[in-house]
Amino acid sequence: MKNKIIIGSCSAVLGIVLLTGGVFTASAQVGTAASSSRIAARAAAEAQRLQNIVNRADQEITRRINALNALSTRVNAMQKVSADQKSSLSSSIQTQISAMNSLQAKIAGDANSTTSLKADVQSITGSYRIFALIIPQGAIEAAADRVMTIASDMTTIGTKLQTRVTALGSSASGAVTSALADFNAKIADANTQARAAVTEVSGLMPDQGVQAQMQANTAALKDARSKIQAAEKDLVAARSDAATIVKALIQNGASATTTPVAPSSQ
Amino acid sequence: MSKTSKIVLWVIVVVIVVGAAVWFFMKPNSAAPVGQGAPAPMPQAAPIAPTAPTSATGNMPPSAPTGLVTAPTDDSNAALNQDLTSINSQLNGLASDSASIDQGLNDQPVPQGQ
Repeated sequence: MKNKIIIGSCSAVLGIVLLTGGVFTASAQVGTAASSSRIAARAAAEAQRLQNIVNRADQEITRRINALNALSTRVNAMQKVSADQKSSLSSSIQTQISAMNSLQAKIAGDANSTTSLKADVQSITGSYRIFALIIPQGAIEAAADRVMTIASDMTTIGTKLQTRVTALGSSASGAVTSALADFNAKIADANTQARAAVTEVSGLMPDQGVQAQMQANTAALKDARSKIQAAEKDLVAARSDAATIVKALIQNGASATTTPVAPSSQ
Repeated sequence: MSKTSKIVLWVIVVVIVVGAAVWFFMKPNSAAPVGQGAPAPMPQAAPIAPTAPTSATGNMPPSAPTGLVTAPTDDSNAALNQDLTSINSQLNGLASDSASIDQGLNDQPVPQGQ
């Protein structure tokens, strides 16, 4: 009787063991498959995340290269700088473009390395300062060049106006002579402001992460920007003065002192 | 307790221990430390913010200052008016140059967050 009980119990337990083992095995297989799926999903998400970073960096670099190319075109159109200065500016811009192209290629190859990717992406803004320094610096020099070009043309116009006003003699009104004096003063100040702006920014160098230099660069750029704005206001005011004088001359019926000649290209 | 009961009890204990061990080692996420849940979803990159439209093609006015088209000695009313029109055009170019300076100084880079 005892033996039967023992045999029966052991059989029951053995059945339970086998049944439990089967359940465990099936569960383990399902669990392993689910685990593998999750690991693959995590890897895919990580790869996508890195690719997104690469794509954004690529867009940022492309934006900088486009801006540099536009600046290069503008620099080549500058008129009041020497050929050497223009060449130096263009060379500096091309160096930055080459550096951006190299960085773009390096970041494209960084997609499997989070560490180097992060460092390279940070260097887009941290090391090169394209928008923080190079572009505004070049734009200020280009704007100053245009200010001086306009001032030069206005000086030519001023000579014509002076001739006409002088020809009027005593019939020239006080408003006209006053406008002419203001016209000349505004042109002179515009030239002064433009030259000061160029002097202020021409020697600026990328800060390479040095906070004090970055702040000094930013302050210099903003101050030069204010000088360009002042020069622009001067020229607009001078333009207004010239219009006042021409209008008065036409109303006065004064005639030209010279016979008009065919326009020449300058 | 009879000998038979002891044997049955031991068999049950062994089965429970073995079953627990099997369950512990075969459960899903066995590679993860005990107590750690499913991995948090990886943060996806934020959409790229649109940038200034002018930057795609460059933000510098392409045209150079043109200068006056009348003769320096021509002080006729017509020439003066033509000169002023030319100055207007150049002042527009200067305004574009000024805008380029501002764009550089005010540029906000797209966040490159991890």
